[in-house]
Amino acid sequence: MTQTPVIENPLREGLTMERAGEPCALVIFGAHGDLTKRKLMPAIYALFVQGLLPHNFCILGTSRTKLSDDQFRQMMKESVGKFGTDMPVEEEKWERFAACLYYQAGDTASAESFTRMAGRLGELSERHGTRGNSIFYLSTPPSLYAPIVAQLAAAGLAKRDADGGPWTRVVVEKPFGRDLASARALNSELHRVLEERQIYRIDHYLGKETVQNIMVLRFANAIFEPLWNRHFVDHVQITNAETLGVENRAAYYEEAGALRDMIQNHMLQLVSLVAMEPPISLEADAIRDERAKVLRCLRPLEAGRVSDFAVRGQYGPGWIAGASVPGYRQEKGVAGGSHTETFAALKFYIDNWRWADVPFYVRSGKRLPRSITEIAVHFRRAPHRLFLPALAGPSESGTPNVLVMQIQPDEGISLKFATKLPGPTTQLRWLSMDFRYSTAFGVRSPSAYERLLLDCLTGDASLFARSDQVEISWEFLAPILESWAQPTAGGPEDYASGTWGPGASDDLLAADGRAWRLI
Amino acid sequence: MTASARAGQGRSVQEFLSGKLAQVDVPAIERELRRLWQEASGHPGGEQSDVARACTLNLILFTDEETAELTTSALLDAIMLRRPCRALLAVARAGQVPGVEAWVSARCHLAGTGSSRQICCEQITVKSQGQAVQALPSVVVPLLVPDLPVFLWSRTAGFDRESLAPFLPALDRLIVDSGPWELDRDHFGAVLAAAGSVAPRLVVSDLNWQRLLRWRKITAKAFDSLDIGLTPADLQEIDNVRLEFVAQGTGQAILMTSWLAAQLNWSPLAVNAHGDVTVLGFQQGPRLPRVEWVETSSPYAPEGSLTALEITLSRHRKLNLALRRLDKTPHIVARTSSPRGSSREVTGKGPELDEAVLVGCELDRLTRDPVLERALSMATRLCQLFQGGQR
Repeated sequence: MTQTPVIENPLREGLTMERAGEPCALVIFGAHGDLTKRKLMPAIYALFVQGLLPHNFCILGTSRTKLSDDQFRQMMKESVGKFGTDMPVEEEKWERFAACLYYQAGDTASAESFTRMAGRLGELSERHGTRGNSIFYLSTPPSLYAPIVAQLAAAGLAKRDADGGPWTRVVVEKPFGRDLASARALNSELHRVLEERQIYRIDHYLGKETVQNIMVLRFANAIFEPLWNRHFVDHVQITNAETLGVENRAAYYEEAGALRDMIQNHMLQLVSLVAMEPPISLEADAIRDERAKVLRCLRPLEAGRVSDFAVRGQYGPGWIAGASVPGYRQEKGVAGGSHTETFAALKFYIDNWRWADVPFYVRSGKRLPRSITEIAVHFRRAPHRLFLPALAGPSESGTPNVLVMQIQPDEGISLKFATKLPGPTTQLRWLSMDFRYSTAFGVRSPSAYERLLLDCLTGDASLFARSDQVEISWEFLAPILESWAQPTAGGPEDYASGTWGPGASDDLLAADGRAWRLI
Repeated sequence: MTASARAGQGRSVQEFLSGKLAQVDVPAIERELRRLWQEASGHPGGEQSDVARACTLNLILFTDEETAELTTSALLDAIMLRRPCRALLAVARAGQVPGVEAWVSARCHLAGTGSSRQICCEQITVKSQGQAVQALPSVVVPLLVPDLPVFLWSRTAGFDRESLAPFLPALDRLIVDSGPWELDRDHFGAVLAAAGSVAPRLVVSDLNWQRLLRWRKITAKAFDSLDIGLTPADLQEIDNVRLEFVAQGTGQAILMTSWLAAQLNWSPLAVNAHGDVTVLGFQQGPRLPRVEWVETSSPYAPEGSLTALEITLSRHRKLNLALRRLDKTPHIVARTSSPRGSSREVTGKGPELDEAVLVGCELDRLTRDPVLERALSMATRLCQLFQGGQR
């Protein structure tokens, strides 16, 4: 068989076309919900303003609430105005944007709703030229993921990708299950209808600029990677601290807790980025393979020794930024005898050539003194402590060099190092060499949702979690979940709001002769 | 230090941070800047510790304008807001009395909504006049912040190779604007020769190239996009290209033609100007494609800018591709039409890019653009052909 030779277009040389996705319709389940209002719609509008949406594009919102297209448009306009702070609504632009916004009320349990949706999408495909391509964003409770996907399939809306034909992508929000068994069950339900490459499990942490910069810092700079191993790194600390309490999420949080809400997904994804080997390319699966390998190397926790490696706490009353705040059990919607942890700290090892015996400490909590997320790589001390007597003050006795990647707020990177005080003295001081995105680059950083939605539109899954990563992380945490669920385990240790968690968290590091970074 | 001296110094810091120019001795520019920054950051005993000094690159703005500090002020503000840098405004003025003077100032903006922290960049203005213009590089080059990329934006009507030559070894990127350039003087060749003299370190960029980006993209896209219906093979069938542009400045027409010719391997044969129409003849194997430039007027498009591009494919295809700038907007519509009356079209949207945006785009990249270099090289050949024809 002869093939027609492919002729290159010489005029394309050197032209990088904007990253705009292919024509498609974006269907948002839970369009009346908080996530759509606060995050999704402001992000989609920002993409529109920057000209990053495909020309042939439309959005169909759906939820149980009855709304007309115009009511939905008005509600979304208010949301973008309120929550899209750095991309204010401009009338002329909004009018153009609103022209591609539609709404259809529906019940996710009703097959008829999905049949109507299929008809509506057909009309919209004609009107907007979306070529039958669809992204279904499930901004719903996780219990609806499998039923919705099954209904999509039954209505002929969840097509497996075929070359040249219309495509379907499904975006799901965490939590991806609540333990290993439920995660496997969910993956199995999704895979019954969709191929893995059609599923985009969104972890908005991975869309943050500094998180993406971890790979650049490590693999584009030759000076860090030679130090990035057990020979030079003493330990790694990852902190996610929030001043907020449970707010209006008590119903969800009571079932989840800090371990499921933050550590299983966001924190372990950060660990995988910090500890991964260089990928062979920037292809989505090349990167995700390396991240999954790290998670596979996590040293399993022994069931009988969980308390040596995992600590939990629950906030009590206290003070945050000068205001008195109630304890968790006094919050609306929280059971009086709740054992849900609002703070979790873990110590673990990555059993591979690079990280053998280097401890990783991870903590996440609510009602802590400040809101911050950072990764701190603590390097080993200089082999001969020539200047030790000259180091001033007790705060100088910690591990010498620390590289801190601050994820939020004020995203940036800093390196702590010793320098000599001026004058005829050998006194040293620790200084921090700082790089801040906000200072160094005047350009606006896109929100995590903007970045991730754009990736989904262009079919790039690098920053999304894959099913094997999800299952491995649940498998790793299983002994902790089981141990904490034992009736004899007691409850989490109380800590006062506005402090850095329970005393056991400090003990976790003190047992190794280390301490949490003073942040 | 006396109280009045301290008060006087405090005022100069305030003026410095407010963006006012403070005159300084030329040999003491760096020292004076250090003093002002020290005071501004609250050392020792100051009160303005909410000031952060930011610098990610060096930008030399070379100009011969008499009132450069006024005409470039808003431009530098816009550039430095997004790309913190040390800006060195190097002014080379004609004049009888030789002299060099210098001023320093800071350009500050708030770090973010609700923040009281100011992010500040510094600007050093060095004005030289008469014969002292030769001394300008010896003042400016030592003021470059080490280890950061150095960009020189030549904001003069033509390309002043002689004045810029001493700067070249210090540069990473030379930015010119060929927009106003004409065929009768080969500035393109002068730029390439200047870059070649310190190759491969120095990279050349042209604001005019960035301005043409949308035209280039939509033209390229027309030949392999389902929306338009042409294929890359059709590029071998081009008979005629007609470019319309607003009078005053043929730079866009030259560069667009040069890009097409260089990318399609056309060899220039002749350039002839007749009134408002210039005809350029090329050879592509046995074919003889030609390009026509037609001056036009438009109340909406800036001087020198393209307003239309029509490509006629060979007679047996009888297909035309027409790109046209829409009135009142900078959008471009590309449309194919056949004798049977069928037509397809796509629209390329985007704002009119001002100088600050164009320069900003150039400051974001450091890599070589071989396509631009080939286009500049072709432009040089066109200039030489034109000048040969004139002689």
